[in-house]
Parts: sequence; C-alpha cells; structure tokens
Amino acid sequence: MTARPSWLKLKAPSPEEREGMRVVRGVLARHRLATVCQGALCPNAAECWGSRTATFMLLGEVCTRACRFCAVETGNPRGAVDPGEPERLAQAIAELGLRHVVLTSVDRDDLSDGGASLFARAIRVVKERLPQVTVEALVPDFSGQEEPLRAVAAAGADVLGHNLEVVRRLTPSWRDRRASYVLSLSVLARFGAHAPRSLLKSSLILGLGETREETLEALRDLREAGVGLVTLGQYLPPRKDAAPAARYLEPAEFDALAGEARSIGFRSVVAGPLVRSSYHAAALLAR
Amino acid sequence: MPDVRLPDLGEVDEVTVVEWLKKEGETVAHGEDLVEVETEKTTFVIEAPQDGRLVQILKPQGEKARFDDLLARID
Repeated sequence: MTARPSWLKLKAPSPEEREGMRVVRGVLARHRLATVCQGALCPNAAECWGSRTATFMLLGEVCTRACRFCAVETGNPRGAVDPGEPERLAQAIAELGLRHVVLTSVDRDDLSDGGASLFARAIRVVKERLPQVTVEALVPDFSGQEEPLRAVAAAGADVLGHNLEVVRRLTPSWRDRRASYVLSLSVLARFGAHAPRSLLKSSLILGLGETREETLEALRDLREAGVGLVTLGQYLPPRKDAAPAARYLEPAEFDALAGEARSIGFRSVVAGPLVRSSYHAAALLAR
Repeated sequence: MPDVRLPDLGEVDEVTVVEWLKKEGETVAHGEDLVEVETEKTTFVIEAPQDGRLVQILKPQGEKARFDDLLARID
C-alpha cells in the first residue's frame, strides 16, 4: 500500500455534498453528457458536484491519445460524433444554474478537424442560449492545424485553455508522442492572436521528476505565449499500474511556486496538491 | 445496531481500507475520524455516524469496499 502524504487526505463528502452529487448525476444522465470529473477519477468530484458544478467532456469518453498521467480511456472512436451534444449541454447548464462552465473534450485524432467544429458549436450554443454564463474552453492541440484553432478561437469563449501539462524535458516521456511542448505553446500563442478578447489559461502537473528551475522555465514560456491564468497541481497516479509520482510536493512548495508565478506576471494562479486544471475555475476567473 | 457503510465518495468505484483509527471495543463519538480508505488518487477519512462503541469491523485493513458496503457496526 502506498504511503500518501497527509495533505492528500480528504474528508468523506458531507450530506449536502452527497445531495449535490445526486443532482449533478441526474442531470448528466438525463442529457447523456460526460464529465472529466468522472473520466479522470477526480478527487475533488464530491466538492465540485456538491456545489453543483462540473467540467463537461465533449466528443465522447474515449481519447485517441495516451498520456501517462491521465485516467481517460484511450481508443479509436472511429469518427463517432453526437450532433445533439451542444444543445443538451446548454440544457444541462441551464438546469444546474451554472454561472461559469468549463468545457473540455477528449483528443479526436480520428476526425479531420480534431473535433473543433463540434467544440466551437458547443461554445456558441451555450453563449447564445445562456448569455449570462461565462464559458471556459479547455481544448486539445488539434495537431496544430490552423483551421480548427481559428474555428474554436472565433467561437467566443471567455477563457481559452490548453494545458502544457509537463515541463519541456519530461514531455516526451509523459505525454502522447503526438503532443509536444513547443506545439502546445504555439497553440496558446495562436489563440492569443486569434482571440485577443479571451483570457488564456494553462496548467502544469508537478511531481513528475521536474526540477524547480524547469517548472519556472515552463511558467516563463507560458507567460511569453500570453497566458494569464495558470493552475499547478500534483501528479496523482491514475491507475494501480501507472508510474508512481516522483515526488509529492508539499503545500508550502505550491504556495511558493504560486508566488513565483505571480511575480512572473500571471494575473491569477491556483496551486496546490489537489488542484486540477479546472479546479475553482469560476473563482480563478473572478479574481 | 447502527451500520457504518461506505458513503458516496464521488467518482469512485472501489476503495481499499487503509487503516482503522479505532479498535473494536473502543468508544467513538459522532463525527470522529473512524477509518481511512483509499482510491486510485486520494485517501478519504470516514467519520463515525454516531456516538457508541465500535463493536465489529467487517472490512479490516487491506480489504476492498464499494459504495454502501457494510464497514463496521457501532452499538
């Protein structure tokens, strides 16, 4: 049995949180929607669902890529797209009464546009039907193709996110071979150019064996790409047979890195052992 | 006899009992930390649902449990 540090312990959900989870599960089931909360076995699901928020995962639950840190299933969805998903999504957001919503998707290398047209339509449908809702889109790299990136950028998300995930040196050993550090930075920089009114957001997973200097380099590279919002969290092995964490950073180290990130120029930072990229997304945007 | 069951922990299929923080025969108070269980990604601390004596542990350390499984009895 692995010895986990004390700061990765959570209280079992309260009765109020359990009631919130029941409500969210009901809405998700009724509208046949998936969440990354479920796909990624998120430890914060009870807290977020308890406060009736969730991060929706579009375009299915099977990802064409295989990053070693991720719990989402890898496979080939063979071009399957559900054209009614954006409308059902908007309905679910309305029922949950969300003010801020995070939309993400699996990677869809089986589709010529990487799923960008459906993703862009989902953003538009939500913005049109629920103009009071702020939308955060956390998107894949679309293999760096210009058209899909432009389509998503033009859809009007308030926050455009793409996760760099891993420091430069460790990217080839942790992310899918089709992903790259330079490509992810380029995706973010191009979003900045195509959607100047959207805030740019990214995220790093720590505890993979990176040095502090490498983390700071990644933060500086993100700033240079125009990213203003960043989250930093601890790698938690997604399966029993997954690579163990190289290190569990202490909460104080996350606090110190958050301070560094702010001094580098990020306007808002959320950092901590159990922080995931969409954790407290509404609060991050509000700051 | 009141049951201690595995609560809904969110997106969790199965947990492993890591450690009982109370022994059989000990008294427990409502809300006191009773048992730690772990998922793939984290550890949850489950509290005693009421005052009483922990009479029987049905899922000892190392055993797996699913939602609503009986973990222990409190009298």
